[in-house]
Amino acid sequence: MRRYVIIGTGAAGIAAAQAIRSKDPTADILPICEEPYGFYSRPGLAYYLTGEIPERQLYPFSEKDFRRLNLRPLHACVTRVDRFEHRIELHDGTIVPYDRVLIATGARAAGSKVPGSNLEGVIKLDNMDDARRIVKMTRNARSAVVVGGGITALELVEGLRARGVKTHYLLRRDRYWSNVLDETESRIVENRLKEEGVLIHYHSELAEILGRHGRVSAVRTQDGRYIQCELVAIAIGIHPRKELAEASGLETDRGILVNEYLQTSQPDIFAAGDVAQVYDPFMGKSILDSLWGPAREQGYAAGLNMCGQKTIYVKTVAFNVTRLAGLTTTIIGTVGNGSDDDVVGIMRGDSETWRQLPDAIAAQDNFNVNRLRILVGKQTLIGAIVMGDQTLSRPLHQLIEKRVDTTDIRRHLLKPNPPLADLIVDFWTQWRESYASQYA
Amino acid sequence: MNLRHLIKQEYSRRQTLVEGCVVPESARCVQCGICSYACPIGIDVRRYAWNGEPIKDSYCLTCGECVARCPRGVLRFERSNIFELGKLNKSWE
Repeated sequence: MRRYVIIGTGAAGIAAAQAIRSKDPTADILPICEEPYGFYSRPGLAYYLTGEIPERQLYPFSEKDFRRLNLRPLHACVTRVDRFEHRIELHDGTIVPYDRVLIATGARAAGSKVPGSNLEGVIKLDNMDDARRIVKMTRNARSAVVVGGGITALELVEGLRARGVKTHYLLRRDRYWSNVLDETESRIVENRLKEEGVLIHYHSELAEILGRHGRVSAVRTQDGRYIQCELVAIAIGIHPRKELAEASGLETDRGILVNEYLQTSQPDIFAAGDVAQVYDPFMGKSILDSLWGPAREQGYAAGLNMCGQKTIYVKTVAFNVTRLAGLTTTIIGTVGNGSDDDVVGIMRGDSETWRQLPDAIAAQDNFNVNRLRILVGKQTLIGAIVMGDQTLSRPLHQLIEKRVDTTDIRRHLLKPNPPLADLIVDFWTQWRESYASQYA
Repeated sequence: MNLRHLIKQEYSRRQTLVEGCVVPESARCVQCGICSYACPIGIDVRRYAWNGEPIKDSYCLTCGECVARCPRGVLRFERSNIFELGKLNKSWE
């Protein structure tokens, strides 16, 4: 009987355990989790902060589900993977032998280096403990300052505001998330935040966090302004948690380097999720991803490979769904403008492929508060942003992912004020029918 | 928007609710559980989304609470063909 050890019980770890169990019903699978909470929805923490769901709702699997999979997660900290002796060392000195191991330790929020960052009241949104701390602290806090330019920063802004805290949001440049959104999209988000009472400070960078008796009392911006606050929330990017792999002698770069089979430099050790820098055979380079969907897919592929069923992980087109100031937003493919303003490093819920400068022409359509942006390439659609009404996001996702030749509608798409929605839906319906008959 | 359009829209909405079933798009789901929390009869909608299956629970009222509350647009109504199947079965009898 093979023993599989899975370090980390996030989306990747649980998907791997399911994959292994599906192929090897008698296998001994040991998930090891550093946090005492087990498997919970990290992206869901944002909705816990806004008060939309209670904490107990964040756990997708019950004890019964774990029993059904015959998994008994162990709450422990792994200090080293001994790749020569095939064993794992835990914080309390326990030795656990393994046949195959998966490292799915995820990523952690980057800390701020400005003076005062260690004061009580400086918060981040990384895990359950952080969310609990924020909920507790907001009971007594009157005002907060949020720093960062991506999705997590906005989740913090919305969470704090929903809990009745006066929220100041510092943006380094002149608008929100300018490396992904265009100016109109940024303004839509900003205006909605302002309507909720959020105070946005443009061209503002944190210079220092000031404290009194060890607690945050104010911040000073680089242009010399002071903002009184009890909380400072930082969301300036994430770092893969690759220390374990480094201590174990595995090859690392920005994350743990793995091949298309999710295998590290040691054939019996695999890595998946936010910590893995996966080789993409089509692009010819290794890529980090920090989204729930790819983590789950990578975990599943890694699990199959660990059982000996060779499965290549192929990264599909960049695809992220989020909620920006109450607007459901889908970001597909390459939509960035190449510049990097507010983001330092990779944000949670961010994907690297958006940052490339697209060789494309943007065609846009506005309808009420809903908004659609499509990047039209020479032969295919390259990327799209769908804000609000999501009717078009599935057709666009499929057309972009399958690299469908859109030459026939390109001319119509690029006309002034084209009926974008009709064009896309009609084209997609036709394509779907022909695709279905082709593969029937 | 005229009255006829509104009536047509409402008719179509009600028809979808009666004939439809809730279908998830798993790639969008992050298992936050808002759907299960919003379900008035306690169906674990989130599990269907994890498994990528339509919500085929016979108790589902197709009330649309989960569809409306999902922050990531994971869930949608899709018209099922249950009535067409009924007609088909009758013709066989």
